[in-house]
Amino acid sequence: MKYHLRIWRQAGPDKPGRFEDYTVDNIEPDMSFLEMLDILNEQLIKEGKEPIAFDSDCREGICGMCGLVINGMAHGPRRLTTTCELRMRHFPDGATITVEPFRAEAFPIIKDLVVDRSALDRIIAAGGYISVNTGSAPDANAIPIPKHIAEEAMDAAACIGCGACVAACPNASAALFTAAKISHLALLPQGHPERERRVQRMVAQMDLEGFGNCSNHGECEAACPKGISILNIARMRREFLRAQVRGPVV
Amino acid sequence: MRMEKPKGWNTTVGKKVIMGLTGLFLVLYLIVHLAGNLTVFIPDGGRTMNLYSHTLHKTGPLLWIIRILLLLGFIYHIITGIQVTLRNRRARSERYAMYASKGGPSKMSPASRWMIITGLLIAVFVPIHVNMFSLGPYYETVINGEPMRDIYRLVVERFKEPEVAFGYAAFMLFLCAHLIHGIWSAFQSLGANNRRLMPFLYSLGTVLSILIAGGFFVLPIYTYFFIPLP
Amino acid sequence: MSVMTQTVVLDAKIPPGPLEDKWDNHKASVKLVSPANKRKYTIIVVGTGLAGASAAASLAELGYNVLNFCIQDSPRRAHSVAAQGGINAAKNYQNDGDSVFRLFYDTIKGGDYRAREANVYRLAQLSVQIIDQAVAQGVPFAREYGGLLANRSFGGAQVSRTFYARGQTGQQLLLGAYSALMRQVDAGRVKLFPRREMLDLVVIDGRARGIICRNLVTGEIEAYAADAVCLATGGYSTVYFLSTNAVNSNATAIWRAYKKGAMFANPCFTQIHPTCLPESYQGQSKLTLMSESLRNDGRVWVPKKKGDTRPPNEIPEDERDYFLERRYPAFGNLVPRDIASRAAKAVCDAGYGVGATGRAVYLDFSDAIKRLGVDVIRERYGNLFAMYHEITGEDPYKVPMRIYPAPHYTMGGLWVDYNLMTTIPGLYALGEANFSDHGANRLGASALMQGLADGYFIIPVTIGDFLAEHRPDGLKTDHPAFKEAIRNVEDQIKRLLSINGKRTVREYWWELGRIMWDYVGMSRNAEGLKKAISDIRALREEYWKNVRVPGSAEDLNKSLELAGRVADFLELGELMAMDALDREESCGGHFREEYQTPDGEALRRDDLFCHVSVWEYKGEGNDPVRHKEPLVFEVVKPSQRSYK
Repeated sequence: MKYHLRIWRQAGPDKPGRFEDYTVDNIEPDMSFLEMLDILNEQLIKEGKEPIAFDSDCREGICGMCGLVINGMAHGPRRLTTTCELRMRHFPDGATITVEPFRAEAFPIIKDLVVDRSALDRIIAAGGYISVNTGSAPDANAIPIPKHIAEEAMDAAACIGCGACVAACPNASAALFTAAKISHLALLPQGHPERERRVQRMVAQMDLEGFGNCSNHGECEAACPKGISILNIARMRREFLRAQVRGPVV
Repeated sequence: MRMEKPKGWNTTVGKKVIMGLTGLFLVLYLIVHLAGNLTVFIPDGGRTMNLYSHTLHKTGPLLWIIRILLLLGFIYHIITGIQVTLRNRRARSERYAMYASKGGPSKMSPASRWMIITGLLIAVFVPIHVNMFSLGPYYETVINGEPMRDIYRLVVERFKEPEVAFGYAAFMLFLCAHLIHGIWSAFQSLGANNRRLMPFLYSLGTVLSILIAGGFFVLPIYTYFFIPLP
Repeated sequence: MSVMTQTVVLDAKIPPGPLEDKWDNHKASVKLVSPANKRKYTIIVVGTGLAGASAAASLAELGYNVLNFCIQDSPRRAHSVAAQGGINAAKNYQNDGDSVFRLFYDTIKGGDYRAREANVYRLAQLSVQIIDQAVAQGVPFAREYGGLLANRSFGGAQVSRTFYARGQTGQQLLLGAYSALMRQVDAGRVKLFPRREMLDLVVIDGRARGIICRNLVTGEIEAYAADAVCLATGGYSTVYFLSTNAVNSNATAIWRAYKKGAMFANPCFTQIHPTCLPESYQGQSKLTLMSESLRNDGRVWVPKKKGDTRPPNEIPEDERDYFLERRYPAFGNLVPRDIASRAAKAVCDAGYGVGATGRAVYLDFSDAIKRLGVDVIRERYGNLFAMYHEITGEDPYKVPMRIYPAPHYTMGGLWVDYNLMTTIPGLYALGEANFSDHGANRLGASALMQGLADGYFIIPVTIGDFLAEHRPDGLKTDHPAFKEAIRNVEDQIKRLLSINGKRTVREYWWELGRIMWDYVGMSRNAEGLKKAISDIRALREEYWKNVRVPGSAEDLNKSLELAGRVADFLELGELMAMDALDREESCGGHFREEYQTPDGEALRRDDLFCHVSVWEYKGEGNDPVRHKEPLVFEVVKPSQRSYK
């Protein structure tokens, strides 16, 4: 199969960017989108041109490192799919495909399609943990947790931190990312001692990073490769209100 | 974009809570307001409507408290809405060349995308509306021996002017769009949502929006065509 | 090839006393650093996977200053994240007769008696605490309706001791360790350096004192000094090009440490995982693993007729060969990985393979779906089935999966003693980067256990023993040793960029991968290994003359990053082949065709090879020297593994 690609090229963070057109041929339907880009890059190197920089690592949809906006959609047109899992069979032969980086002020472009998502790490550092030093834990079965609660926590914990929620949100909000972690830890009894402080600090950090507001468009959930629900955002807001009423004064 | 570390109600989450609270308060008012206005349909020459209006005005200070609260809620809703929008614009200064929705669970619609536009249009509409009716000409009528304002006559007179009737109706379409996203969204913003509530709230929002805006929409049109001048 | 050998005493520093008391005795006797003094020490941890993140977090909790490096943009992306099936622990919550001893025994036996007893016993002991720690961190393990933790069974064991979080156990455990790490980052105890690649180890007066990194964004070569260095940089399966590892997984950190004097143990011990998606097209960049847990409910089979091209669902029951159940009735589909992989290869070699290439076997869930219903299967494996469906376009609820073995894990790695210290004082290797606990074959759900045991519980104890004897001396990176290391790194980068040949780095990598897979893969023989060695040498020579690395050294340049890694693979591959040639026996994942039982099982030669092969670098152009650490079994007597 053959494709025409319009790809965003940008030499560095403060350099101007633009779209460039490429053509790739002999693409197998089972090939992933990134493998198609691998082939394009091999072609570019042979032509003496600089290959297109993009991030990826596990290539099985779990590390969260890859992420491109393909035809206007974060991780491409398929739901519940990361860019590395996206297969070329979903694009008709001869199609023109537009590829852009995840765009947000909080995700500055490093080069071409590579962006800096360290803001997400800083949100976690602000409180996305349970403060338990190594070695001080009680027996794992000391606190029974109802199965459905554990499952709900797992649904939220499934976040891979790819940032597609931010990329897809019309406001570049990180609400779903932040809420997923707050929700995961708020659902579990282990997370309760720090719940008020956690939501206050994580929300403040999220804002400090320059993400937009959540306007409840729900685009984040649609783009999330793990299908994390915006109901987690509702839970984050409950946690927030709870902290406003019962939490420590910050 | 580095900024001050925000706290409490100044955070993005806090602001959404404010939007939700003020929004729901305004919706509540709209429902009461609509209930009063629907008395125009009672074919009694405006008797019920005028009585209703008169009763409201007799509450005196209470009415003023409500009016002030409404005004504050309205202004707070607008200011916060503008702040939220400005922040959102700053959060992505370089726009996508191509932007599309994956659909699925997304709640994005023109209604959700244009909240600021529909909101600002309503913000323009409301003072005109208040000026036209509450602050409009004072006609008097006597019901059950009591003199009172003939608000019915003013309403019917105004809605006999086609530009008022149809302009008014047109604005109600914007209100409808604003409420379709606004009502369910307010519950979501207040955290009053979960797996069981979600479908209900979303339907409730849509139905309520259509009923409220629909009621306000039908009112001028019906008056224009079917209600004779008193 | 004749292997040079030399007698060097490799002291594993195994503590005295009975097996079950060794770790406690050791903890009671190691030297300590006082809490007030800990903050005067700086420790470098390279890698943020299970071992790296848990070590960095735990060391910081103790009060040490930790510098933590990772190659990805975030520590949460380390490839531990991709482990699917679960983590073993001898909790015996299921009351099915499990115990620390049994986990120890299963691991030693599963590793085909090529691991250290003391290390493995300690691992089994610590397994219990790992689960406690993870649960306290909020890791959402699967639970029963009563609210207590659930378990599943895994290959190589007859008890259910595997804890899991759907098919994302590695992710959840990693996020637990990552959250602990980020807590320390917030506290200022850990300084995080993402998008850094370690390119050299700095050794001063025979002691590891720092590392040289390339900042992958700016291209800057950076130096960092410390009182000790921990490498937790994972394994080297990507030497095969196609593997289940991430595309950035590489051997550069351990390889360059090896070239600075850290000896490399058992490089030929690699694990080929039986349940992966088969290779299916040119340009494929990786092989996707399907969790071993699938073998709990899936049945592996091939048609009884050679070259049977009928769709699987049209092949009647009596024309199917459930070859694992037939050959290994006691363990059936749950035999250890090396055995399952080899059995699959054997039936494909014999012409019974399925799929377009004939290099695949079926993994069939129709019986399990009939028995348990679609919903139960979906709950257990839903995400794996969805992943399979997305990749292949086939629905595994309806059509059996097609699977084939793929390189997955490397048991070999830097040699470490009981304290996890390499042969360079002050240099530690943790997790998959070391060679220690899995012998010649790792059991499923044990990698997570080992990585976390090393990071959470072992290194925080053992590193103090070393640091207590080496007071902080305020070493700075202006020391000549750092300058020299920086120069060497820069020279290599310049050289790679200046060749400007005809072939891309990936082409060489791919070609090396072919050689490795064909001759140093699932089964090996002397002739093939010799050919591999000469082919790799030739390829390496060509590489340095004809590779083309585009771009510059001054910014993000993925081709340049890869070029350095492939240069190392081209050396490591040779060492793996040399080790495989040297080990004239079959054990675990190392199968030498010359050494097998009449029914095709691995034939160990305990009289000659009951040792760890430890390779010492002797400089460019010289053959490495092989040393031996004899393995002494005091508790478990080696016997031929039987899963029949």
